[in-house]
Amino acid sequence: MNQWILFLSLIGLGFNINADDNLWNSGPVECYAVPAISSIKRLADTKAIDGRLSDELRLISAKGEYEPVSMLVRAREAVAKFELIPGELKGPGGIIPVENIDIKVVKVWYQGGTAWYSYFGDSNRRELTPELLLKDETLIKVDHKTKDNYLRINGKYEHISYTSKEDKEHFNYLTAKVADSKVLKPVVLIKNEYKQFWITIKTPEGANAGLYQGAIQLIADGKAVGSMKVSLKVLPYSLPDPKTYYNLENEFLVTIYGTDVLDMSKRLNIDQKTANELQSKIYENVRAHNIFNCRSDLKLAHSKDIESSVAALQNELRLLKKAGFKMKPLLSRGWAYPISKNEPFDEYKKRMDRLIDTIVGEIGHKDIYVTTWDEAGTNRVKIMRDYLEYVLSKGVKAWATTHKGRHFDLIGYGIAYANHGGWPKKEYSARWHAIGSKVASYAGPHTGPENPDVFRRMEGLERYKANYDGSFNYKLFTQMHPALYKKYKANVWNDFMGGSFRGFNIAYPTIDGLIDTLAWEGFREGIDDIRYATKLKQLAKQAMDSSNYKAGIAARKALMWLELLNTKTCDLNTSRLEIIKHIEKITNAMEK
Amino acid sequence: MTKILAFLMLLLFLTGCSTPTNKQKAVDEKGRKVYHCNYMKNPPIGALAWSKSDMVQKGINKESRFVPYNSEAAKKLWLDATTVRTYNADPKLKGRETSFYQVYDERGWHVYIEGLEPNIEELVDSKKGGGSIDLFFVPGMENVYYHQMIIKPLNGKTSFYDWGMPHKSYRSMEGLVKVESTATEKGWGTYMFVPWELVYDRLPLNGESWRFSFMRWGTRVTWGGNVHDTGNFGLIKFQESPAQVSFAIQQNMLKSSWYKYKEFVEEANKKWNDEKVGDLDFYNQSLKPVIDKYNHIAEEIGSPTNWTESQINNSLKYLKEWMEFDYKVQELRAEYLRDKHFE
Repeated sequence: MNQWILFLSLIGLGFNINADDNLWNSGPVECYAVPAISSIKRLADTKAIDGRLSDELRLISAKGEYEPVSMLVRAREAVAKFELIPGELKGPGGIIPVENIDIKVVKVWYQGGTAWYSYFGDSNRRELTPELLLKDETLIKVDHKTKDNYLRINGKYEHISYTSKEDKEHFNYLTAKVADSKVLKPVVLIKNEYKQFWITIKTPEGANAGLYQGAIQLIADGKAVGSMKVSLKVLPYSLPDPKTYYNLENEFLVTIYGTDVLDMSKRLNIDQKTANELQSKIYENVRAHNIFNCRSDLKLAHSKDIESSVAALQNELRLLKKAGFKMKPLLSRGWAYPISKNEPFDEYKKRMDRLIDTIVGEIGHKDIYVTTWDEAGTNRVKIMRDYLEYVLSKGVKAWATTHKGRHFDLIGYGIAYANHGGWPKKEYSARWHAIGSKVASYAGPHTGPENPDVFRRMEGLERYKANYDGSFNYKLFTQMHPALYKKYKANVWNDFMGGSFRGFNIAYPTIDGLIDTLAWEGFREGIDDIRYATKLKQLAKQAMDSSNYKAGIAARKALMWLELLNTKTCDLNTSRLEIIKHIEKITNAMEK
Repeated sequence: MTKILAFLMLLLFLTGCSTPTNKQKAVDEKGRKVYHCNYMKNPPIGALAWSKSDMVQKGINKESRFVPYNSEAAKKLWLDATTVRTYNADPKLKGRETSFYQVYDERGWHVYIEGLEPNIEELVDSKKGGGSIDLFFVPGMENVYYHQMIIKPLNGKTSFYDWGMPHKSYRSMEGLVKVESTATEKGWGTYMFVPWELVYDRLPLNGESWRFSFMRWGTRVTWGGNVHDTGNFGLIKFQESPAQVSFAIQQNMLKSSWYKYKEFVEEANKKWNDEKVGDLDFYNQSLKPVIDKYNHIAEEIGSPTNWTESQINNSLKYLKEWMEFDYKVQELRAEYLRDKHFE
């Protein structure tokens, strides 16, 4: 052991722990309150260097918000059956029912060598990585000797850490019976090891503002061993939908690639009812994670039976509507480019007409963006121009993936919404804004890294303050290739198949929905940060427009703070609290 | 350990270092190349100095065991949306050897990369080409973050890719790592300096190994592995640092942390101890007591230029808190604001 590292680690231990000696000084466990969203990779031997020994979990939430809080449990002695039993929270004039308190255990499993940090593949190494949020942690079994993971499929464990050299079939997540428990199962605690629990509280939209309190009872091998008090402060407001930083009138669009399972279900002859049920579950999860503008993934290309494709598209749009996504504007994957070299332009026009008519027929307006070739090079960019001009002639707009040095100079005029690859930068957004286009970004980074702070920061205030118009990342999970899935033999659960990239997973598909991850929770918090900032800016505008000069000063001070905030390095937990403080100050000033 | 003994050990160590081997021994570790990075007193600083140094002129500790980059993997690099690479190899050009040299000293890790270019004049005149270097390093072996940078030696541009999010145990390379390139008679040379401050909590003072590799595009070669393929990178084995050098490094780190802390305090005072835009209650209740505590320590130990060995040893416990005081302020602020909601 490097003594220098050990020395610094020991110093680090004292960094933020104000341990109360009387807390958890006896019994089989000790508990720590830790920030839920953190860059610290919490493994079984990772001490709570950013937390504190505590018997209370505190969180602050707006009305209608999902807010996470987290605790580490360290076992002083082995516990075969450790249970957490939440109770309702009581507050001013009401309760927050136990159904709104969702407890999961953070599953640590083996991932590739770049895990936690990158979406690039490194399947030559295996590192323990916290990622999955599970009700039943035994869904995944980990072999520490061989560094392999096993997934329980239909009650039986199957090896999921094989390399591409092994002769395995593709993994069909649409039919494989993989599902998490609906209720939190007891966990095993190993002596001297830490285990992280993740608690998400959904504050009801109609809750009264104020302090709500309750507790989570801790049971070790059938005996009560203490409890964690839960204190939730409900703020006197709901969060608005996100708007852009540079213009409060413009919506900040929140989208993610890869939410569709309908197309693949159809190809695999899965009945429509089953497919619709799974799709709806996925939409429900995605919507709850702040995706406001889910993309319509079905197109009318590559189908000989156009009527069937039209019906499928109509079905998808109805499910999107039912799930509560915004349908205006609508982002469509409809292809504004030739399906093949042989597709005559007139055929393309008919296909595009039918796509637009179908969408307009379902949503009742033409605020629609269709897409064109993905990451096109110069030759394709030149070809796509006529195709996009036709789209424009129909009163519809286009979105496209682009990159520094690509597209803008040749087809910028035809792209109303540019999804720019790479880390967000103000100079990129400024360029597209200069010609009246919107800009989002992807691959900054792609999904894959497990660190929740990456997605909270990059999908949240970092992109927002770089004046982007949306989040449009790739992707929810690595799907089966529609045509080549048998050849590629992909397994969404396997990080060791080799290749340049890891699986692009921010959630994992199961037979009945999605399994959440740390990164996915980070994503939700990132968008919530933007919603808090939007609330702040809306209120600030109101104050500055009023004749109350004191409120105006409070508003300008808040905007100064937001503009000066360094979103690359700031502690986002502190920034959230600071925004809440500024909202309170402006509100108070306006009431005087 | 007495000072005399330490001095003798250092002398012995330096004598050992000064016996050069003409090339790195081809000693591999589990199929990976290993480069032995030795301590050097007063190494060359900057690309030009390195290009003219004895080490480079005589090829001392030169590493040039580069191999072709997997061509199938190279084809897939166009999918990388974060950067554009010229990854096609030009088979017509011979004599484009790639090599590197590394040493460390009390201030940091010094890397010099040399790329031979038979047509360097043309490349310089035309102001284009020359390829790029995709450089990666992992300051450790397991459960450690990694850094990436793309250097374009002939146009002087370096892009840093931060795969971690800045926090108390991870710092961005931007503003800390220095990269400088120069055209030479035979090609180009690139110098990279990584100050220990970037990795002060992961110092390789006890003979540790770091994962390291780079790819040179244009010639399409790698020292080990593909991009981001840390498991196939080579290893940099740092020579165990003698007590005197380790002490000097720790001393430097403590000084850095102290000056950084002073800068943070100045900023924190300006920001929070202001009746109009600060928060005097927070300042007086939460922040000032911590600043007072450290200022008191400062008064006791005096100016860093006069620190004694025992003062340094006694103050090392504050190193991380001083170095990361900015985060400490944010934590105090969060605690203060959160507590207000639950009073």
